[in-house]
Amino acid sequence: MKTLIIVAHPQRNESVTQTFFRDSLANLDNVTWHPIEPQFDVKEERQLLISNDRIILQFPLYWYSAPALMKKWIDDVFGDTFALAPEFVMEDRELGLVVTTASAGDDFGAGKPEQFTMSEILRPFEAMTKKVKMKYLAPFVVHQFGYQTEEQHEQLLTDYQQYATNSDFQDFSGQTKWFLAQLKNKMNKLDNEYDIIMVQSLYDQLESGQDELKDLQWTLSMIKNAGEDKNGNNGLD
Amino acid sequence: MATTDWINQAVSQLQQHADNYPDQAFYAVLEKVMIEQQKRIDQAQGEIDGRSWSGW
Repeated sequence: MKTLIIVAHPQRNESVTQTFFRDSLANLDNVTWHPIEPQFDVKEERQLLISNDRIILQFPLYWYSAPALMKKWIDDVFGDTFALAPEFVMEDRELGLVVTTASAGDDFGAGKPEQFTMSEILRPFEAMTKKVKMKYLAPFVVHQFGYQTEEQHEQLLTDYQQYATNSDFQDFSGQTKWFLAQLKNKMNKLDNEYDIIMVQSLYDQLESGQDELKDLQWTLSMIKNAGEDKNGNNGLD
Repeated sequence: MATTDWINQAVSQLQQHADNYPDQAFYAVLEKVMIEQQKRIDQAQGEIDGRSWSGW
């Protein structure tokens, strides 16, 4: 899977969050970090779009939407029927959003200071995705990066890496597969023999745990199905 | 040594040897994933045992 991250941030070079995200991709393959400038070549941008499978629009939330630069980019690049019928050139590709905001996560929702959920606020992007027949990914929203703890930053970093490179990032089994693939990659790059043994041990443990969990879940589903057949109901009691 | 102990030890070692922040963060979160996996295994095993004892 190839991923294109389109970054629109009016003060990109001063943004600690954007620098954090850019640096977090350093060890990953098949990801293109693509900051957009006020002047861009529409043809080149379209070529980039069609040469990737997952497109991520990344921006800070400005007045409940994207900064003007991102809006202009969408209007110009997706416009002029490029992404619409009859070919639907973007069909089945994925579209994700990475949105940063200085507001707290708890502020969003009915009856809360911001009144609306982030899903509601980002609905125009979801509508756009539907219009061009792309697949809309659950938005990746980062609240108050500067207030996060070191532990939260570590989690954020791997969540972001997975948002960019894991085709199955929302499922625990998919996340496990991603960690296994990353461990294998690291093993190939390490030169310290002790570290290689450690990584191999972690890999083996994670892999056998995944197999064990899969077997247990299969057994459990068999027991549940048998219970439903025996009781003649759907197993809910 | 309990499973989580050696995982913690291996992760700490690898974090110390990692020369960049993304790798250090990766190992820290990997440990959490492995603990979560063990929790899910225990829960699934517990549910199977419970259902077996109650005759499904």
